Amino acid sequence: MINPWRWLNIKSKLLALMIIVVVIPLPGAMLAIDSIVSKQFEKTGHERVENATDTVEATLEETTDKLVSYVELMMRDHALIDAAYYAMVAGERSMLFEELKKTYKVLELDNLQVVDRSGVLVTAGEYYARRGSDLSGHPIIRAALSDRTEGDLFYAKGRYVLQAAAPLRRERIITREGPYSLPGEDEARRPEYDVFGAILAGVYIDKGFLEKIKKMSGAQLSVLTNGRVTLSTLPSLVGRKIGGGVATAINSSTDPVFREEKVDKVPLFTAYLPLRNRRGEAIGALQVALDVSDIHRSAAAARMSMLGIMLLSLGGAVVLAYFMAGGITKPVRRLQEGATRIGKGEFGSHITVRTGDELESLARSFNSMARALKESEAELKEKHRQMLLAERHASLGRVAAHVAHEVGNPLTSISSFVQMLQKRRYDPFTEEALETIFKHIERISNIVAQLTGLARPVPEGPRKCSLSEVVEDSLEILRYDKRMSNVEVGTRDMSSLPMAAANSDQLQQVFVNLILNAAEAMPDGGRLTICAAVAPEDALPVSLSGNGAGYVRVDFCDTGCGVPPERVGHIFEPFYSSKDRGTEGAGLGLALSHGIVRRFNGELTLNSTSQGSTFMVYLPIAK
Amino acid sequence: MTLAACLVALLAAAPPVHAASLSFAGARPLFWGGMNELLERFGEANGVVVFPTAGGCSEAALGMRSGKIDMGGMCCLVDETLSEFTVVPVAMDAMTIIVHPSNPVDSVTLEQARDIFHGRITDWSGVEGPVGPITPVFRNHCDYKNEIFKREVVGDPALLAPATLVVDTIAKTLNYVGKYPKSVGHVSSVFSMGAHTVKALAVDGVYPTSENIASGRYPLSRELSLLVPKNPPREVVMFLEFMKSPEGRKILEKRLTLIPERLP
Repeated sequence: MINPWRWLNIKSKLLALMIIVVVIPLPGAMLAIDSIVSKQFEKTGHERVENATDTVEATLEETTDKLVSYVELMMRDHALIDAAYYAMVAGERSMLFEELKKTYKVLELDNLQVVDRSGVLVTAGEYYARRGSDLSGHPIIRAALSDRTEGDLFYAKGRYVLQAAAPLRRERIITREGPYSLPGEDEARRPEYDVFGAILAGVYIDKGFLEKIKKMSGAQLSVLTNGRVTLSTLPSLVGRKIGGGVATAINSSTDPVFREEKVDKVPLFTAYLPLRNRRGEAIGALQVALDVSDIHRSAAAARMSMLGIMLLSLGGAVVLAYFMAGGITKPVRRLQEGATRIGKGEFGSHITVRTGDELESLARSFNSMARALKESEAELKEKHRQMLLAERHASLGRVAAHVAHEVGNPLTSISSFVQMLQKRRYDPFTEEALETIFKHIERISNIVAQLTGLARPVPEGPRKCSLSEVVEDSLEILRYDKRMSNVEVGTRDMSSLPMAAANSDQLQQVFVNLILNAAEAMPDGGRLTICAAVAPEDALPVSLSGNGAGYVRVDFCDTGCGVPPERVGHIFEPFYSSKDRGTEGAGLGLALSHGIVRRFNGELTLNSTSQGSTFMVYLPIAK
Repeated sequence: MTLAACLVALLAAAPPVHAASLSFAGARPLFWGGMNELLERFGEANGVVVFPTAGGCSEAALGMRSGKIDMGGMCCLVDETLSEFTVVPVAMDAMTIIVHPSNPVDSVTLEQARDIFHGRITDWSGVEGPVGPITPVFRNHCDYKNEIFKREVVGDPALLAPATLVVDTIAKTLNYVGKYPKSVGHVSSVFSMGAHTVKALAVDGVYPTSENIASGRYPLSRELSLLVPKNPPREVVMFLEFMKSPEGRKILEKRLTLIPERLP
């Protein structure tokens, strides 16, 4: 089975992971946001249609109240009262008509009628009515003739009308008994009235009225009669039957019935408001319709905006994820490169990671590991070198012992014979020749002796040895040596140093070798400083570190020309010498010294620069 | 400084000085017939603060009884119920029967007037006028026993014609009658004399002129009088003197009819 995950590198995987994390919740979030937006806009639509419905209801109520106020004002208008009375008593209606017409126009009414005591129409403001229409059956006129002012909604002759009626009163004659009393001083003299007619004012719920409410509410209004639109501010609605159980719902509900509808593809939020009279009878309904196209457009725009924002966020997330993944994988890549370099043996490579997280810790650990490897490598090399040197010493020792034995014995014989011959007298040439032979035999003897020393094991175990004494003895031996004539020797006080575990004679041989080596490194003179101290643990050579023993270190510092770096590694090898082998040593002094010191479980090291060399002798502290 | 302080102390210690005043309330025919102007002139001439108020006989009687006014103006007959006061006749006026100026009827008999207001005559043709219903306008004021129109024409107000429009002010009567041609009302001659919006009818063939009122030939003539305390204050005495003076008589003569021989 193919696993595409394996084809991706870490960065791609991280990127894919982040994108998946962002993308998976996206459809859910989109649906949630769409739902929220839809609900919010639906709520907005409902609120708007509710507000419009409130405005319509308030307008209907206010109109009725206004009509009541109008008729109450008119019933106190003496000019109108007088004209009405005169029209009824004298039968002359023209003056009343003029009064009514004036008021009708000023108050912008659709109805303004005066009826007499029996409810018969006297005249009207809207037209010069013929006397005689019997309006006594009209509920609010009946109420007005009973001295009550009322307003109500009616349906008559195919239209709805808001009307109010008030009584027309005249002062009733009263008999005032007793002399000279003020009116109102007692109950019997309170002014009393007779109702001699009624005045009726009305406003039609016609298109003009609907348009007025439309201006205030912002909603389209339609009048419904028997479930059919009979009047509307939207002409296309007239004649339309409203189904869906709306009529039933209106009749059974005291509150407006809300619907969401579409008319001619226009989305509408509608409220059906029952038109009820004072008795609570639903005699019709008003449809309050709000065009919510703008809300739908806003919702769509909001959805698109949301989608755009989400896509932008997604894009941003991808870009961010790309860089974040890069940020995560870059240190990993560095670690990988570092590991590769280490694999190639470049233990000095260092990885820098500044992420502050586990990767930085890993890089630190990696660097520590590289350092440890480098140190181990150095130690290994040193061990290897020392092993090679020791092996070489051993083999050379064996060769030297053999050579010393095979050469030494004949040489002793030759030397004895040369010495015996020298005791005789010869010609100068022969004497000189014998002298030369003896001199070279001496030299060979020295070499053999050195070879013997190289091969000879420590004659006895190390003892406690005073370093200051050994140094002093060594210097004393060389006091008159001509090689020391130009060397200024300086020593530091070593009396407080602990005793070293060594053999004094052999250690003296080492010190003499090192002093002479320094003198030879300064042919034109210079300064040799000899000092000693207890070596700190962390400053011990690799070969001595970690064994728990204490060491004392004796330094021999000269101001010579130093040892070239390429030769430093070979300086303790036998027969290795920077000097003229024909005239100077055989290259065994330092090798011999190194061998002696190591046999004391010490170490001899060199630190050399162009300004001079320092030989450091590490010796274990005697217990 | 000391002088000023002494002056202030003296002023503070001095008793309050009350300005002389004279108050009147009473019948509108008397008030508008000349009493208002008379009081204004008297006040100006004598440095008396006057308080004239228009009202009715009831206000006059009650004001006098309560001592709130110095003089009460009466249009009705003063009976024994007001014997605690001195009655000072001032002048005469008459209750006139008024119609719209366009109404061709100029005269009614007292009996016809009674019939009209009792609803026995409901059409102008009943008083030799054009055919058309009569709209009577009745102002209900004062006590019915002593007020001349009630006493002589209406009688018991319960008998008023059903079509009668009852009003409470003279202005309403004048307005209504002046506006509606088929109406008939009644006001004091003070208000109908010289009015262009209404026309006063002759009663029993006698027009309400000053002469006819003074002679008593006009049947609805009456006396207007003042009620004053038995012991009138100085301002009342001074006012009555002023009223009798030529200047006072001249003012009253403008709208009322004087009865010189009966003035005290």
